[in-house]
Amino acid sequence: MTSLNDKVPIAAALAAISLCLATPSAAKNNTAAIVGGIIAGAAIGAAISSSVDHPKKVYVPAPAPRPAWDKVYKPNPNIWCYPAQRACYNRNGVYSANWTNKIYVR
Amino acid sequence: MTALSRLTKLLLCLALGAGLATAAYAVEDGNDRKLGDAWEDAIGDQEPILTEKQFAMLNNLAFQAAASKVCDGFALDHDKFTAAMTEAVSPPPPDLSEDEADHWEGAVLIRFGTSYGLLLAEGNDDEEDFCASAADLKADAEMPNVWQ
Repeated sequence: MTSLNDKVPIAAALAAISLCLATPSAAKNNTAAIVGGIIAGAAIGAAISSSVDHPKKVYVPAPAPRPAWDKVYKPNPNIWCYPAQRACYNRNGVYSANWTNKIYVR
Repeated sequence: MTALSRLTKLLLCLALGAGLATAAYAVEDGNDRKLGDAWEDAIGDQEPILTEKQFAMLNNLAFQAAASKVCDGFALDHDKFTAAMTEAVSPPPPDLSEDEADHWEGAVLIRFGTSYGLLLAEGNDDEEDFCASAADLKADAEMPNVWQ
């Protein structure tokens, strides 16, 4: 194990990242398109329950289809890549950053 | 050979055959990725808050952050890590309000933290293989990393 003094606190790095994230200038109301099942679910739930004047049909953009969780792609006999996870694993079941990078980042 | 010994031999052969067939199936069917069920529970229904490439970059950063905790000689470089995280989550989805951008940012950081935690668990479960995989990344001059 490395000593604590050798490590950069993840929280500090993430705080720096949050400052780097761009903040959109346009303030459009497009809740239906926003990220995250939690947010979308909450927004839709509130919309359904809070008004008697709702239109009878509420259209929500369909999310892009996700690959099946266990779907596997083998770029070579010793590597298993899982599109749903965007991650590749070695033969021994250990995460492979090299192959994840080769298959999903490049 | 008695009937009983023939039966015993037959059962042993069947058991051996079944074992070999199971082993062959396991190798052919998958590599039994570590904590696969936990990954599915954690992110299996994740909304597409990032692109495929961005998700993969975030996975790799979570792996490297976990390796910095689990393995000797893999301390993070603060500046590299920050720059890589910023690159991984840029650009944000277009046309978000300020509130929506805050929610999105939160979702991204939660996703990163979830992956980081799962990879910490994987690394602590099998430190030798996990750190060997980290060493593979570090040794590959063509692959970017965020370690010192």
